[in-house]
Amino acid sequence: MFLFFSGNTVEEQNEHYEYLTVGKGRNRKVVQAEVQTVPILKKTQNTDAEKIKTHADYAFASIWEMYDTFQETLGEGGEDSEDSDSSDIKHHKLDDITSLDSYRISPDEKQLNKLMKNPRFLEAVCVIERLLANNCYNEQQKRFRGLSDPYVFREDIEYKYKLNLLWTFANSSTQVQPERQYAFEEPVTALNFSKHNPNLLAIGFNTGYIVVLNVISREPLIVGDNMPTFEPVWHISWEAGYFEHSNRELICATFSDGRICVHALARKLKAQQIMRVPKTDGKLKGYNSMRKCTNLTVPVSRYSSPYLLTSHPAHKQIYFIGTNEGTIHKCSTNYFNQHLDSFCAHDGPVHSMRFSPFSKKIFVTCGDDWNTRFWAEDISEPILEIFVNMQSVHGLEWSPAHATIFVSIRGSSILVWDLQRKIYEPQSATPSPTGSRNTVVQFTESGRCLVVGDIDGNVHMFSLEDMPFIPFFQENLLFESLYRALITYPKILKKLKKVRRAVQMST
Amino acid sequence: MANEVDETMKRIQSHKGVVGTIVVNSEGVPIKSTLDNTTTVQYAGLISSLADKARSVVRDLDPSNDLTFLRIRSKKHEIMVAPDKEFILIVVQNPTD
Repeated sequence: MFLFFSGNTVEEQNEHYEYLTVGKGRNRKVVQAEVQTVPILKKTQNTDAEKIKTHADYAFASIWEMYDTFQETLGEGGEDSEDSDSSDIKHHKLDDITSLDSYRISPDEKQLNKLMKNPRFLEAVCVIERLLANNCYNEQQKRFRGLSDPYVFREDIEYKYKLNLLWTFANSSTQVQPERQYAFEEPVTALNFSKHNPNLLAIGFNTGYIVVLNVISREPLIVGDNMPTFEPVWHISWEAGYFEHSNRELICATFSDGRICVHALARKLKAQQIMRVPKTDGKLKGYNSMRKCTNLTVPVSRYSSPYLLTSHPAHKQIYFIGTNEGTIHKCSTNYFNQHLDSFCAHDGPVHSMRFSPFSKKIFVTCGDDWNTRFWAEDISEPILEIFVNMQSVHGLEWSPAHATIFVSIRGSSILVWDLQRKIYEPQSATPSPTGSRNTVVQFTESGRCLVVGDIDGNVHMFSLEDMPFIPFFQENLLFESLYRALITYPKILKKLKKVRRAVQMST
Repeated sequence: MANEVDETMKRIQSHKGVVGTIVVNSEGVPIKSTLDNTTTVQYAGLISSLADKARSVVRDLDPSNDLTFLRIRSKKHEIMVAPDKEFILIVVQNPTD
């Protein structure tokens, strides 16, 4: 076909084009011209749509749900839900890491394991254990709290001074778990709760490290600690009123190298040494101790090791230190590194020194030389000496309810003494239920119950039964009993009477 | 991990007089129990709904308050329930007195 496109046809086409666009053909009529559009063929078709499933549902908004929603919009609830989501994610991650086992553990166990970490679950377990114990030991707990005292007007009253075992906390027992358990690497040698903030516990270790914990949390929450000094801490206590300008509580600690330091509660406890306990030579007043056969001219250490620290009940700034050599030093916080007075109390370490709760002048000490000695503050020799058998007296405590009753522990027995009746023999001797050597004894505040701890880690709780009635004039009774006991020692009796008159004149 | 769980359950179970312990998760399904299956399912279902009702009582009276513990004493047993958002801990005890 292209063969027929000669130059003539092309020329003719070009002329035609020009005629139509530029020439006379431009004004031709186009009204009558017909045009045809391409027909589009249509067809109807059906399709299927899925039915939208509807389900009748309801929402119930009670007063507290509305309250909860309000709380959330205030911003607190939002954070809580975020936290729980992230903790869920964390838990899932942990499970994935140990994924070898996670396929074998059923989802129930996984949920249980997650619950174990929930602190609310642990608290619920704690509360349930308390209630379970209460259901079984209801009577004993009532006795301990002082809610069910024995009937005062019963007819057959006998003074038997019995000790009734209420319950025992034992280390190995699976029944009772301690509510808080803190594990440390070094041995703990001393601990004490604060009197101003009872949730703070000060702990002293064998290495001289002191830590203050807040017992509100289950994990050890360290509030303050110090630099360890590598000497065991023998005694730690919270004392207030040591210095006149502040009534703040200070942590007072005694170390085995003879130093006594006070620390103010801070993140890093700084020690301020208030006393260094020297070894004493020569003859001291007090107990006539035996001469020691040492011919050392230069001792190993010039300082002796303080085992205990007791504050004077009347003067807050005076405190007494009992050492492992048996001497007791009287020191004051106003004079650092010096002692006001000292006397020899025992032949061996002094274990306990207690002032009578009813008289600020009388105190009693006990030590490893098998003796218990009574002293009055202005008399330089012991008033009374009690010896039962050749066993070290490990602790003693005055009864806070009776002026003349005190309890001492020697070996595995607990002895209850009453100065009013006889001094050469205890009123009652109770052997420890587990037969182990007792180390510490303390009365409860009402004087009705006694706690005894022993060397195997058991803590026994006793209640005192069949005790005499509480006297009205406690201090009077105490002094009268001491007079009666000192009939054969007229010189000491005279001195004691003078002390008593001084006390009476000052009140 | 599993040891801690077992230890805690054994501790509660070894108290004097405890008949059984059940831990229920947030959906009402018992996940750990020391009783047989039928009793467990029964306890879980009934106690969950009772705990919910008790909770709504406390909150209706005062919306800022919340239920912390529920104790049901009957002639033969005592049922102690510790309800929470994520779990319910149920302990049944036979008090000796």
